[in-house]
Amino acid sequence: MRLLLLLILLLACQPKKPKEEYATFPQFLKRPQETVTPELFRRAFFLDDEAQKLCSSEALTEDILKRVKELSSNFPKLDGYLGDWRKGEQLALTPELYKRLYGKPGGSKKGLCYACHCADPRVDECGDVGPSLYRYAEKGVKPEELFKRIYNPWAFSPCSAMPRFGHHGLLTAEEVTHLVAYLLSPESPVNGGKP
Amino acid sequence: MLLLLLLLTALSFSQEALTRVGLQSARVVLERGKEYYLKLTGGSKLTCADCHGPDGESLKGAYARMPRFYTDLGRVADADLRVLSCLRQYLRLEDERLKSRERELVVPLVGFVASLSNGELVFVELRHPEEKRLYELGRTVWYRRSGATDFSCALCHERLAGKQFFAEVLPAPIPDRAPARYPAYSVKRDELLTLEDKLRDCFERYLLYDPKKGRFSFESRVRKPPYYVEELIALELFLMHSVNGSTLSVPGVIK
Ligand code: HEC
Ligand code: HEC
Ligand code: HEC
Repeated sequence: MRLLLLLILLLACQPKKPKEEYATFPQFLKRPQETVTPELFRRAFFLDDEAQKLCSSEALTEDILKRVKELSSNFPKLDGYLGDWRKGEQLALTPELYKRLYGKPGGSKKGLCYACHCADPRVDECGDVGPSLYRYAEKGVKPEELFKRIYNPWAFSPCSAMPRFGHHGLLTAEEVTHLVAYLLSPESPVNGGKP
Repeated sequence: MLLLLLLLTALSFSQEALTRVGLQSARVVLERGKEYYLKLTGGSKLTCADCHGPDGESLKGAYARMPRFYTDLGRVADADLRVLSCLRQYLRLEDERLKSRERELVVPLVGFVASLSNGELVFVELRHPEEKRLYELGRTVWYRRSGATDFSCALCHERLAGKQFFAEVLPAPIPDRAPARYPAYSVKRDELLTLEDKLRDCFERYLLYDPKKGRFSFESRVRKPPYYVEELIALELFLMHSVNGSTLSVPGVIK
């Protein structure tokens, strides 16, 4: 096995031959044109988002944190905050992680949760930027509270490393309710349920 | 027989072997850079060597002081932009010929130029007003939270450095003096990456807003800044200045 791996490695790492000679420039070899202009990039990068600007400060003072909290107090009103944990799982797992667990396509690129958190004990490729969410239901957090925590974490922990998923539309309000269920439902693998 | 020998060697030093193979591939790219340096010509019929010496004498130590302000360009340039400018202005390579394979020429040349400064200490100065301005801009970009993920370079590479992010440990490029090891060969991608390439790639993690829609969209084409944009050169200036005094050692090898 190890031998095979190394063989593949060696073959893959064979120094590449230069594709053409320095003197000849085939005209057909064209890359797609770079369409991103500096102006487009600047507009995309320097967002006019007051909270984001405040959190970019090198010294996060009490005043800044207080202001960011104030700016993060808008939440949609819903009839219920507990969605479908299975849909939540689809959002939380990246396509690679989903495939590894279930052997079929699924998951989502929006699901960045495992970049920073561990939760489902079957997933070992998980980050430790945020706390582990394994058995999160035991914490006794109310669904509405948890909804807000995922929708806009800066309302609780201003300038936190956790993205403001709802605020940016990375997740819709409905999608956030599914993640709430993923973390709170006793059937969810996060809480030891058997999927 | 040779393959078997190679295999046996690789088996005994699997970790070092990876680095060795990476270095070997990197040297091939640098060799190609040298060949371009000596032979490539455009409308002016001049080669790089005609102006900078057959062994690049006049370029020894230059990379360790880059990015810096250049009077002939009227702006601050990193190695990538400096080499591209010489290709354009002094070799007078036509746009048509450059367009399709600009990076294929620039990257090996930057690798070769950088290797001429091996062993020198990084010494980026802030003398010209433009250098000072770009240093401040680089610092601003480094700390700026942006995109749908609200990330910043400093968030991942200072505040969270050492933490696990998916399967990767977040590096601390400034204390690790990483910029002094670029251009570096990526074994996984099987290509040489300049510092500009590497910084540009990190922007993908921001999930930038779609500037046309004014909100986040997975369909947006704006994932990374365009090459040679001022903000990238500013980040390089900020990072290289932050590792002043480190010994330049290129090509580096990365995953
Ligand atoms: C870039 C890193 C990052 C990502 C991605 C991320 N989080 Fe977090 N999360 C954190 C950090 C850091 C905390 C600690 C508290 C804080 O600073 O907000 C946290 C806290 C939490 C908490 C509160 C834990 C407690 O103590 O009660 C929950 C719940 C949570 N995250 C859920 C999620 C979910 C669900 C996702 C995916 C949609 C996610 N996080 C994605 C970094 C992240
Ligand atoms: C016609 C002459 C000419 C040719 C040909 C030329 N250059 Fe230059 N190059 C210059 C000048 C002029 C400068 C600016 C020097 C300065 O301001 O210190 C320069 C600067 C540079 C620098 C930065 C040196 C420093 O001290 O910071 C590098 C690197 C460089 N050239 C690489 C190249 C490469 C690679 C080629 C071939 C693709 C090339 N040049 C071709 C004239 C030339
Ligand atoms: C979400 C976290 C994240 C953000 C934001 C981020 N990076 Fe990175 N960066 C990484 C990871 C993970 C690696 C290591 C893996 C790799 O090389 O891609 C890395 C690698 C690097 C390296 C190479 C370090 C080395 O040892 O070779 C540099 C330099 C770097 N990043 C600079 C930047 C800059 C500049 C920015 C801001 C534009 C930035 N990064 C934003 C996560 C991040």
